Amino acid sequence: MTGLRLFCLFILLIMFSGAFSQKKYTLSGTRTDSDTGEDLAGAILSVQNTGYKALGNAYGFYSITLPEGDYTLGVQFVGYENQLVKVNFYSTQVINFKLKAVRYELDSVVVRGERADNNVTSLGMGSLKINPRQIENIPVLLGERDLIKTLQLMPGIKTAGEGNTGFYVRGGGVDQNLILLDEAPVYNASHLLGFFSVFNSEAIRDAELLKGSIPAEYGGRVSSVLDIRMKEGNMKDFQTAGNVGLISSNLSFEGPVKEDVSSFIVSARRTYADLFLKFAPDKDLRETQLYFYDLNLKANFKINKNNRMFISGYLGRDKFMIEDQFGFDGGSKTATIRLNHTFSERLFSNSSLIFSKYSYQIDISGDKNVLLGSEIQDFNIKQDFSWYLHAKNTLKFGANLIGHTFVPGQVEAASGSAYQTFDVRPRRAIESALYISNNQEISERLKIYYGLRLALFSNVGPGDFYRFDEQGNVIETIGYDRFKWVKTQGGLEPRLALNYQIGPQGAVKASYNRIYQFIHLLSNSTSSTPTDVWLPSSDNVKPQLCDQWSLGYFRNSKRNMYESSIEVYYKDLQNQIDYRNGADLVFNSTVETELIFGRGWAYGAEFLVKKNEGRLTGWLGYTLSKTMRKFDLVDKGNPFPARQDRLHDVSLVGMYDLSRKVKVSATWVYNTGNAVTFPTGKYEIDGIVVPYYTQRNGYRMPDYHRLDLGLTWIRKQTAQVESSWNFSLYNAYGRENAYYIFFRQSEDDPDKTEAVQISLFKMIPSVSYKFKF
Amino acid sequence: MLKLLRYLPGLLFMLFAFSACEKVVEVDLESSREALVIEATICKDKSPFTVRVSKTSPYFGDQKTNPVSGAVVSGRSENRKVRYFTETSPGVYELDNVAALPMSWYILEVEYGGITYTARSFMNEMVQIAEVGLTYFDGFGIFDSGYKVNTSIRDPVNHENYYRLKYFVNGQATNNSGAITLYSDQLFNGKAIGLSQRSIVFQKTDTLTIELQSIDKAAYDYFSTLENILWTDLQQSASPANPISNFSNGALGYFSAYTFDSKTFIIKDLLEE
Repeated sequence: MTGLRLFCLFILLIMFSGAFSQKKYTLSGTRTDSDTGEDLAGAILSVQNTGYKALGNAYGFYSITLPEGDYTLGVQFVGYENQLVKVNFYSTQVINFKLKAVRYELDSVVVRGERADNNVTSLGMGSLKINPRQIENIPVLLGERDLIKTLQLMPGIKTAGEGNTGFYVRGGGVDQNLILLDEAPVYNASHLLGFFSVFNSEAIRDAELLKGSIPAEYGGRVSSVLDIRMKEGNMKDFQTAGNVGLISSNLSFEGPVKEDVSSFIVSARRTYADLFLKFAPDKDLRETQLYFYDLNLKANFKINKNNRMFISGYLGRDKFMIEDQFGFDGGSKTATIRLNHTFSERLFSNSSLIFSKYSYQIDISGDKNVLLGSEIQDFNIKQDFSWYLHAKNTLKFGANLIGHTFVPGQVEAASGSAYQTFDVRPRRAIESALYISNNQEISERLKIYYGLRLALFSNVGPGDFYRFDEQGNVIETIGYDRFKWVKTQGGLEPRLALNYQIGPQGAVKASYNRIYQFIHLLSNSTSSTPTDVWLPSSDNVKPQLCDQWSLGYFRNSKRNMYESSIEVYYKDLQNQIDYRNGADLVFNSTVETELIFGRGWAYGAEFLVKKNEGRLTGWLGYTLSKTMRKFDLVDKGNPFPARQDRLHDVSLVGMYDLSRKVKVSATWVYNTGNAVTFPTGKYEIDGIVVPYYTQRNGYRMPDYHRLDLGLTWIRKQTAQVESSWNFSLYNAYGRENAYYIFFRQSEDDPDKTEAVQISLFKMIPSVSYKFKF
Repeated sequence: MLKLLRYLPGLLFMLFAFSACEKVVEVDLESSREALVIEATICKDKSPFTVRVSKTSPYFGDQKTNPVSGAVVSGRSENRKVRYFTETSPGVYELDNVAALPMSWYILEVEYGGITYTARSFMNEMVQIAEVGLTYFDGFGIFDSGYKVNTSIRDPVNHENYYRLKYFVNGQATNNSGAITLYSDQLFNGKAIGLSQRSIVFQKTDTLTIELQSIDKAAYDYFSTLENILWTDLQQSASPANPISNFSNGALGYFSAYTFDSKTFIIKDLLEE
């Protein structure tokens, strides 16, 4: 009922916004880099001396409808020279802008990839955009630049652990972030237990994280969207770039297939710790494999004026093998084929065909005798339209259909092995969505966004579905045939946002979102592991549901040199998942019985002050927040803090240009320790002292703080050639931050018990060399 | 067996071992209300049957155990006469000269402070150690070199079996960072199989006793959830909780009726055979 009313309101709003009559024409086109031919997504086109602006979409396309007349058009994009063009506008026109990149300028450190006052004028709130240029000078762990680790320095985004690329957004879980690489969902975005993300920064064009207002074209994860786009490849010249680091190196090669028509980029990264093992005296060490690699590929073709095709793919694997002991082999694959079509100067379409898979295999004895495996695989069809209705309205609508296959576990035993082959039956599901939204300028000062997404999830055959009694025993197993629909869940998701300008430099923004999440990551350990399993919603597992309200004040000063914002949010989370004591989450065909369900809520305030220009740039972020969970079966239903509950979280990032060639940087982070469960008593079983637990997350880890330092020495930098050295010192003052604390019988005196703290990464220096030619 | 997955992070972490550091720290822990702990075993070929009753004590307290005297402890086989245990030393209750037979249910009751705590356990049939094999391990990184033991058994068909392996070196139970060696026959039902363990190695002169316990599901669940909180690996449970007890009314601990087979030998001798 609410849904229907919302829909009527929606139609009404759109109709209203179309009510005017004046002779108008449409101006559209693209904006690209004049050197490389790459699209400049997010560049701003403004019509001088009027209030008209066109933002364009992620593919570099823009469209604006204006009354006839003579205009001067200005295009701006940070890091590029502004361009002014005069037009006599008395008919529909297409103008493609080519912008020239600004180089060698002392103060050209790019701390944003958008229009200078975008944070104030845009409707989006709680949105962060970064590009690899921006993170170039930030100190890093082991010489590996990582955009996720840079995002973790922003308010509202917290790392899942020391050096970990898993992240919590506004109190949400690690699995509540939708991570997209060229539109393909990435199910496991980390290598080596989370110390490195799968995103090779040499292959990434830009990334945007949405934590507050999430537009209707996105759905499926309740906390945030991290939308990562790969580089498209230079349309003019061939170029080779690379980075040599302590533990890994990467190399990219890009260039035109046909100048200005098609281009490609290939980017590869591999770690090489194991290559050194080849020189080890020990035979076992020599035969040990331990590495990960990433391969990114992308090609794009301008088929004609109105059609453009993109093909991109990612392949990454972690491999670990000790001869006759143990082996692990797992990773992700994604592939995207996209067709951009311009129906008219006002209607733009994007069609995508997407594949994504994460799988792993464990060789439990290192001799290929018994292999345990698990996987999740998606086929995804997506259709999006942008309709530039007129200057004050941009309508977006589309549909999405995802076919999921989950293989929770399979055991393959070699013939003659004592073990038997065994399968947890695959589960299949179809996730579908329809959405429509409008971005509307009500007045000079007020802009609103309203959208509606219908999100549905259906379990389909073939597969076994279970009914359980209260103790979690199977009372009925129902086998469904191929293509048989079993159960559909989901509903409507309203998305609202508004922006009210206060003066030229300030704005108040507010937003509300509702989002369903149908697939859940089962993980019950303090670090993410490659063996965590995704579980679909079903009769027994309701979809997670999140409602988020946020409100913010944004202000820029000194001609956008400084950006500042305060945002507050409240989040209500339903059907959150936790685990029964001793839950067996892997290779379990009735894993639902190991789960318990409850609710959660989170609220907080985020403060950010950022300096974008000058020799000194950087930001100070502070988050004050609370994140709670409540489960009937945990602590008698008393609310308890979630593990990621941290009252204070501070990050300070500074980058300073000592000279044209030498740049220094420093980051300092501080946060309240995670909530943790510690024993309150002990007893003896079988001669061993056992800890006794009474309260979930009743204690705190010690506060965490760390300073990192970095220095970049640019030896040469021109448009074509670049060579630079980067030196980093991670944890510069050697703080022993607690990675975890455990309790044990003292080794010296078994009658005594003690708490032991493990710390990782105390003062880690690193060096890397970057080149381009 | 699937617990082996836990080794993965441990092994990967070796990469970072060069920078990790471990130290004893002061942690301020509150004390909680005392809870009753019962550890009860009935075994076909071990006498007397022993039940230990105790209470929890403050974690950093000086007491290793906190025995409970004056409890009434009784046991019976299903449909049989109730037998009472006698307290032989504080908190230790024993029952002598009674035989227990496999393939039946046993019920144990402890009455203390006006509350009766009850648990049931099924005694599985004895499964024999068919053969013991040794393989030499060169050592790797943080792992010591020495002999690894492989214990072969034939798993009975048509029945869910659960095993616990205990190793005694020169009469002393090995404590391997809290690892408890457990197997369920989910993946090898009815087959002949070698039960290996990964992390303990033995030396040539060691006198080794292997005890293969055939336990029931409740005991298996207890020990595997106990191991979750004892295991001091780098990967920890995000929500450590008390092990799943088969006792009623919130008592900690377990009751296990089990059978066992054992073999004792000197490593050196087995190598010469």
